[in-house]
Amino acid sequence: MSLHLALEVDGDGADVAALTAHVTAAEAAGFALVTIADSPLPPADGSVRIEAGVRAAYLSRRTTRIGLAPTLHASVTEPFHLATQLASLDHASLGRAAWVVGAESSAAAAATVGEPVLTGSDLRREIADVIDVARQLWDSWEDDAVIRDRATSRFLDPDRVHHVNFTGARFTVSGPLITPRPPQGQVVVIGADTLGVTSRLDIALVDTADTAAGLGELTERTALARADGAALVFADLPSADASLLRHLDGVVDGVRIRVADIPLVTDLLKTRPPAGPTLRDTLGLPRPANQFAVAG
Amino acid sequence: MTRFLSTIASAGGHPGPYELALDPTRSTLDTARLVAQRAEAARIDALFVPDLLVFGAQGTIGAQEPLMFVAALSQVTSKAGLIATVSTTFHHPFNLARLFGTLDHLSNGRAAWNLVTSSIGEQNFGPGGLPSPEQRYARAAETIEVVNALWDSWKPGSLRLGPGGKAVLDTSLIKPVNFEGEFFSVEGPINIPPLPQGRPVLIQAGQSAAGIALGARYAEVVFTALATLADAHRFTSEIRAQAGALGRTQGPLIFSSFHATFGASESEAQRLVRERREAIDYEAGRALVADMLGGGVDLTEAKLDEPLPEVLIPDISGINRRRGRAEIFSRLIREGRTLRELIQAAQDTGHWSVAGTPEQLADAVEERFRAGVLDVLSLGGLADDRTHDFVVNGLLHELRKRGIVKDDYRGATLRSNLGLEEPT
Repeated sequence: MSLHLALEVDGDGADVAALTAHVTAAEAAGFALVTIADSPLPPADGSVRIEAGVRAAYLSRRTTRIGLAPTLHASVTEPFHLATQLASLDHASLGRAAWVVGAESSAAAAATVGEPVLTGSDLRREIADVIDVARQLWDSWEDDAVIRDRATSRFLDPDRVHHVNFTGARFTVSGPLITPRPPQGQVVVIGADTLGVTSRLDIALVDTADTAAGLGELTERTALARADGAALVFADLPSADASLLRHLDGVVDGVRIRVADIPLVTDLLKTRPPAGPTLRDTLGLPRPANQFAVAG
Repeated sequence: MTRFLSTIASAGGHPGPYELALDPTRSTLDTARLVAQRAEAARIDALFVPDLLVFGAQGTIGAQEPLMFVAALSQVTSKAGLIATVSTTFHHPFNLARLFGTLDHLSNGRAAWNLVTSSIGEQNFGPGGLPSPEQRYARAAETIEVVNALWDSWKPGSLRLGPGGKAVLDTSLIKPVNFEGEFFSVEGPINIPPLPQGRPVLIQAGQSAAGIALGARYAEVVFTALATLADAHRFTSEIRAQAGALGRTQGPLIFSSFHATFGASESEAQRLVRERREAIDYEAGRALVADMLGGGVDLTEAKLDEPLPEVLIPDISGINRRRGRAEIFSRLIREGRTLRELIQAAQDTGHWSVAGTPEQLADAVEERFRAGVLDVLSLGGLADDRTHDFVVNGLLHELRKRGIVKDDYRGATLRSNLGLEEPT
């Protein structure tokens, strides 16, 4: 079986010991990455949760091979903070950071930060702007900007650090980032194909129902996502069974499952190749060239 | 309770590690991990990281996002507090409450927030410009009101351990905050459970009049740059008087910067200071001092070894950035210091700078501690082998021998180690 496996691990509330146990178990089992859901709003079932990015940083050295993908909501977070947090997560984890693009846009979510509710094309534009500025900021230091030249006591070559001068629909950012380029070059960007920004994603997540019609739709949407430019497509499975996974093998590049379904995949995992060292390596994604680097 | 001097170590971002950053075998995080482990072995109370919102601020070695950075450091520590410096000018209080609340949970009560209002950074949070100091401090005060209300929005008993060790949520004890202010409108409640410390320890930096007023009202610890003992007396009595007038029984703890130059002998320490002064680029220093004075003065023609005329003292109310620094350098002009002396002071940006043997530095620290104008000492240089030895085996050893610094952590939380009251 050639599917990459992702595991959604939100659900342990503020119990970080339980969270760590789930993530280290997933790493030992050979999962490529864990995603960590988040929302500014309480979960509908009345349970509790803590912020996802800080949870991921907490896991960064308790793990060694698995990718860490917190959900950060583009709609309620300052883009510069978001880009810096993810770059720092990539540094802390030595190249295993990913970002699940959140777009919580309900009136209640927008009210937590006093922002207007965005819908339709305004929301799509905002999400696209936040992804674009994050990607530019991650490239704002060229890989060889850090020269560590002891003879001249120079840490970096300022000609290789760039302003981004980004102007979006609702914000502007000059840059550069305060943080050197992430080890992966670009943090792996994951998002639902329904966000309308598929061309900007490294992994498009396509949700599906476990029915014949659902599978037909999945195949169609997967083809669309690939045509839009998503490097990889993962099926997002609220519940899974072994026959469904076998069916998906060859249709999509990976699946995201929930903790309850881990027993279903343990046999399938035995054939997975060893991961790493970076998440991009595990997923077979190339390390992107820097958009600001000048040849020569 | 016996009064002790607490200690806090810088875990990165300080100009000191620049030479270390040149070492290709160490990453920023590796250096910070080493510092964290050394700090905890030396029973230093907490680790501190600055907030750099702009590339190039305080050196160009690159910086990590402070909350993610200290969350990563929580993995290699179990006792030391974790202090992240975060600006209220470029964050929304709801997000801040979630981020710091999460840090307090995963560190089991070791989180602290060093609150700053930022004098830089607006270009990365556009399109609005940098608000005036008055607006920044008003926004900071309102931010504190909102985050405290959010952290208090889960009443005691809202999350209980039920049958079989499962958490049971009583949503009737979780109340909205319904905050309506000048800057924010926040309904709440927050969606994370009560924090191990109730609230993270609140540290505040900023020595302008507005900064002192904010610290007197809200801060549990104030971070200061107090170059002389007289400065320390003046600042401490001012902020304690204001805090007392507001009815606070425990005024903020005075947390002072401390730029130490260690020598095995006094002459070695003096030689190091002399060498550093000789390496100063005095022509570049003119611009540095002009910057300290708010940036509106031209010092290119001023004589190096003559006192600066008082006409160069800026109108503080017209300065939008780092007013506290401008006030310090204005006072130095009034005291008749020469431009050369100002340039030397600007290398330390007005911080408390002492050179000598570990015993002599301990004398200086003891003087301020016994005078009641120093509660928390900032320690740098743990990443460097030589300085680490002087700090831990020299200065800290001496201060412990004198009964000034405690021998071990007192409790599990940062609040207990700093001797702070529980929030009510």
